Amino acid sequence: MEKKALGVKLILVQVIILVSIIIGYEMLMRKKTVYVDSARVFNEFRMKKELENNFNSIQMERKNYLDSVELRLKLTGQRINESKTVSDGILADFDMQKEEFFKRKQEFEEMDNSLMKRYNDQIWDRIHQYAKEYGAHKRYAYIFGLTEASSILYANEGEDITQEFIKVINSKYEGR
Amino acid sequence: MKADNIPLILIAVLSLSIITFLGCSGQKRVSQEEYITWVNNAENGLVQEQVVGDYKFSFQYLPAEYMALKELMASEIMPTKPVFDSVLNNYRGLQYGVMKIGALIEGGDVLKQSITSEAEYFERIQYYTTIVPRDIFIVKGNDTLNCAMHHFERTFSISSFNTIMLGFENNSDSNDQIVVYDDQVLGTGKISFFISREALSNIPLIEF
Repeated sequence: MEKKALGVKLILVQVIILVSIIIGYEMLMRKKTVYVDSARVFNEFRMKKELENNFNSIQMERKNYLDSVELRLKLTGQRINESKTVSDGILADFDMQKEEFFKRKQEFEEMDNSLMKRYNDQIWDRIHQYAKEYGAHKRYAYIFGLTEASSILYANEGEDITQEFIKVINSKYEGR
Repeated sequence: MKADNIPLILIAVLSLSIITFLGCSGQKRVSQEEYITWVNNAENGLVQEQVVGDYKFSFQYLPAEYMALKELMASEIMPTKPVFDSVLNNYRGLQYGVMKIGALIEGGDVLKQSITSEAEYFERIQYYTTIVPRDIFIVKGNDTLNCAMHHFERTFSISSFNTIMLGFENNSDSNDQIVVYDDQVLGTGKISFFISREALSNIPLIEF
């Protein structure tokens, strides 16, 4: 009788261990859903900071050029206004310079917009690529990007991997 | 402890230290074939890969010894130590690497991938044959080591990747190295490859 009871107990223990292993394995293999604060990831990504510096220096060069042309135009305009007789040739030349200035200004604005778009696309492409690699490595089912406009209204803070993800993408960007 | 035993103990400790030092110095000696295999093995840290956008970039650090050995192997000259040393002298002073850029789209050609005009195709050829050294460099500690020589191999769509052989300035630092390719034509942005100090110090010596 005692032997039978012991046997039943042993089977019970074995079943409990087996169930625990199955549950443990299931939990270990379960793919997790995490999220990052997209704006923070973007702003703290080293690539963004570098390209922003590039963009600012290019924009500054263009602005300096336009400022100097504008100043020259203002001085010429002032001289024309102050002088009593101005030849048609000087006026035509002045108008042409003004037209050239506005054309160049518009060109620079378009180039700035296009460069900013190109840089933004490059940065997001890179973030997506690194997210893909990191997500696969960590076996995540999804990495959601939270923005102010996103449709996710609540997310548990425990699933927030923003800080860790920023560290990973900056490290990957350095080739590590 | 007897005073007579002290010299013996000192000798034993010294011998043990020398053996330990030699054992831990990291640079093992391998045959010529093993050396080539070691350098080509990505697990040893001299080969780095990255996928960005539609392109796959890889960089392989090539020690001067590798270059010399490859040259001798290609010319089918028996690489004895004196011959090897004389060839190696030609490679000293620079450090070498090979960068491969591949198109991920099947049948893709790096020079043609995502281009919108024929002019863009020629612009890429011009870039890779002449301008690219300006955009590839090594960051080692506080130094930037410029690309001193390069050779771009065209594959005429036979292969899905293009190869650029590179030679960089060298310095005596034993720091980690970050090889930077600041792309200007593919639209990927900057790509970095990290070659660790450990990987460099683990490069084996060639046995003759």
